[in-house]
Amino acid sequence: MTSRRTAHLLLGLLIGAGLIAPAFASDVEDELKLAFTYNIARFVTWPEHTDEEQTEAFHLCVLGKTPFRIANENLGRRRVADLPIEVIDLLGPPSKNLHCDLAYLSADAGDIGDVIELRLPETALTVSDAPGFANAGGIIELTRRNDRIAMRINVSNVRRAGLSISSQLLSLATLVGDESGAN
Amino acid sequence: MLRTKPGRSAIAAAVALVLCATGSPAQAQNDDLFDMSLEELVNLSVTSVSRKSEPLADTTSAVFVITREDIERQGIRSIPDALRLAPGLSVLQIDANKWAIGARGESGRFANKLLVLMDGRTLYTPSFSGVFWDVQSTLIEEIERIEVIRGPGATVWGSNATNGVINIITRQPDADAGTSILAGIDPEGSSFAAGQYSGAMGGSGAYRVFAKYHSANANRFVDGGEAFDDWDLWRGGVRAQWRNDRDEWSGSVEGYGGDMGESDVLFVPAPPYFSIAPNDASVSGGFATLRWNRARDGGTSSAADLIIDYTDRDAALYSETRTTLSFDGRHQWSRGAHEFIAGGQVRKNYYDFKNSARVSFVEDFMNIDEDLLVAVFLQDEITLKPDAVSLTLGVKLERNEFSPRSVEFMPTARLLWKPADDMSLWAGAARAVRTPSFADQGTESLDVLPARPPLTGPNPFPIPLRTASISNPDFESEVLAAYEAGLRGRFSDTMSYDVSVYVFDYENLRTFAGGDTVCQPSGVSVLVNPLCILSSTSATTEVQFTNEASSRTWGGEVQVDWLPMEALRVIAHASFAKQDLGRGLSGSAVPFQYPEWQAQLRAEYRYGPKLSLAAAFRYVDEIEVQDIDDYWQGNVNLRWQPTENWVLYLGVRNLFDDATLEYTSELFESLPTEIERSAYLNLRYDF
Repeated sequence: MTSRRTAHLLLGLLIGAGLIAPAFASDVEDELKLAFTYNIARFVTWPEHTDEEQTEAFHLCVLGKTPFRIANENLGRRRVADLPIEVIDLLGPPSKNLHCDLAYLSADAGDIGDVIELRLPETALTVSDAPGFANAGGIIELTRRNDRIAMRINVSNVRRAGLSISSQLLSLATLVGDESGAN
Repeated sequence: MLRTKPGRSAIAAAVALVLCATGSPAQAQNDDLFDMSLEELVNLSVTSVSRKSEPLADTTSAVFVITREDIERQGIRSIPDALRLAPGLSVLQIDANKWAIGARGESGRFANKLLVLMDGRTLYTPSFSGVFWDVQSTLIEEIERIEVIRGPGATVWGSNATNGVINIITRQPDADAGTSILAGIDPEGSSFAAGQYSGAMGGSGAYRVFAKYHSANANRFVDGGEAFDDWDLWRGGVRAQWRNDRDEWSGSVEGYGGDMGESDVLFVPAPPYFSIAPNDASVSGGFATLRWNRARDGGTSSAADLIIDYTDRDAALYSETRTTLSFDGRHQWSRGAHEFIAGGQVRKNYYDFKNSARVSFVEDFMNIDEDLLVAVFLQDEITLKPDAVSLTLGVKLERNEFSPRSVEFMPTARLLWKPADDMSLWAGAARAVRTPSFADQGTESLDVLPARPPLTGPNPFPIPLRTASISNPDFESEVLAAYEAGLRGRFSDTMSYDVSVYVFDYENLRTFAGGDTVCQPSGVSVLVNPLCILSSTSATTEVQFTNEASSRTWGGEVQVDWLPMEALRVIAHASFAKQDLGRGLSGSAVPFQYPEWQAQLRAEYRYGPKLSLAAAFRYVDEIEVQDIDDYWQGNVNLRWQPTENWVLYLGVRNLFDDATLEYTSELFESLPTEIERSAYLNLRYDF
């Protein structure tokens, strides 16, 4: 927990200080990133839920005004693992029982570190386009490499969250973290 | 299916247009993003989504994309080997450094109905309207993907895009950062060493440099002897790009040089009437490109390309130095249901030819040291029913100095209908031309076909009969009227299909018109004095290139792409092409030298992120006229990445036979060589 906390703080600091900001931002790019997020969800297995309520829907939490709108418009009628997707606005009124199977945290929205720290359940798969996200406690970072969106996955954080990610997804991403084999 | 990435260059934009002839409104397009697979998303250009990008599923042409990943997983190291993955193409190796590559029924070492482009730069050689594949050998890691369009693309690309277009697109410099060292050894094939370095250039630019040396061993003759086709080539280059909010600039400079071994077949007047002469062709060249691209709001974009290309080839057959300067410009905009693209091209060639013992340029043509090509085109894509029906109309006008007709007219009409979300039907008709080359109009060549021994086949004389071709300054463009249709879609989330059929009607097709037979060395016609054969060592039949054949080629391709399980991908395709030779021939057409049936089964299995196994098996039908039997052939490749820095590729090419005869040069025969089975080990180290 300590390392996670430190990482979140670090991330929060970086973003708060405006040191890292997305170089390009447009609705289209948000759509593309959400399309990635939706696809990623199909390659991830979550630990068995015990809570009844949680098994009725797939909870996609979104931080960011535009991304939430896009997710709501495009993903509201789709399904993940045969569950209907429920899109939750992390900027909306706080709810007591927040469930997030997957959280998309837009770098544009600002204080990501806080959100992870305070509101997200441990088992949430976190996806963000904030630079350095995968090295700062996040699980999947969407980076812009050349003209493409690339994925960086922190495999240590995947394991910590109790998630299992298919090799097909891993083979398309750059792996970081203790078990990535990276130097 | 895959999406295309338009807009990097003028040509790329046009590729996109041909690839993506549909008129779905912006909202619907973006909605498609959520239907794409992760692999498609990873390969998608952000810029292109912001401009205009439609799924390959919506194109009105038969298209196949060979990706960087396909090439890497199969352990492929050359462009011709990569092209073997595509349906509807025939890629046959003649010797270690010569290939016969063609599409939909036309092939040959001097194939002339396929247009090949690399980043918008034409790889076409005006002297014979074809491609010298030996020098198209850029480091394979430089290539992002290869788009193969079967059927004519003349409206956007211009003349010679008759049977197909191959568009090779290199990787953007900012796609990777760091250094790669590569080396490979293949005792029966080619070994290489290369390096690549990518770095940033200020905040918004990037560059990549590479250098490569490769050396290939000789193949062997059918009788088992060692051929003389060993070759080596060095190559180096740099690509750079820079972009800001509005504009994108990119440029490249590349140079190469090497020696291509050849086994020349020379006539001798005594049995067996030929001798083999080893010879080295010396090749060198280079190019520089600069392109500009600007995207504006509302789908409007402009692009321009400036290219200079230099090539020098000094071979036994002929020698040529050529410098090509070209400028391309394009503009794309939409108005209501119409989406327009208009463009123009100016291309200037400067030549210097040298005669050889076998090929001489007739005086008028020897003196041609430059020519000019000017072309304009306009295409309109009309949405008739949003997201369901669209019609594309286009026309290209081209003026070149070889067509006797003053302006070549190349129109097209294509229709797309999407009866369901996961299905699209398309049909198209187009007129395309293959313009005359120096070879057709201005050269005289000896021994274009092997000499016929005395009193055999069509040789009634007691002395060997040779064949010489006499050029025809009135040779016209070969004309294709193409009719195509296709169906593509998905059976399920994991299985997609693509079917296309075509009928190609050719007019004015090249023929050899029988001419005089003369005694050698006296030069007396046998018609004037038949007895001259008694005092001669050989006779020569002079044939002339004429435009007297019509023919019809028809066929189709079927392709299935299947993900039976998460880690396994299987692609199977089959192609068929048949020629019905036409009516009223007074000369003889070059015979059909293309395998009627071809099939391929390809599989890629990923055993975790570090290990993958890929295999590609292909069936190639007989080529009757060349006495080549049908065969199955296959390659396997194991890719192992033990650490993030190291990648190791281990594989076998031509698994099923010690050596395979794939093709014999259809003109200027060089003794056929067989392509041997070979095992290779390649290494890559990234840091």
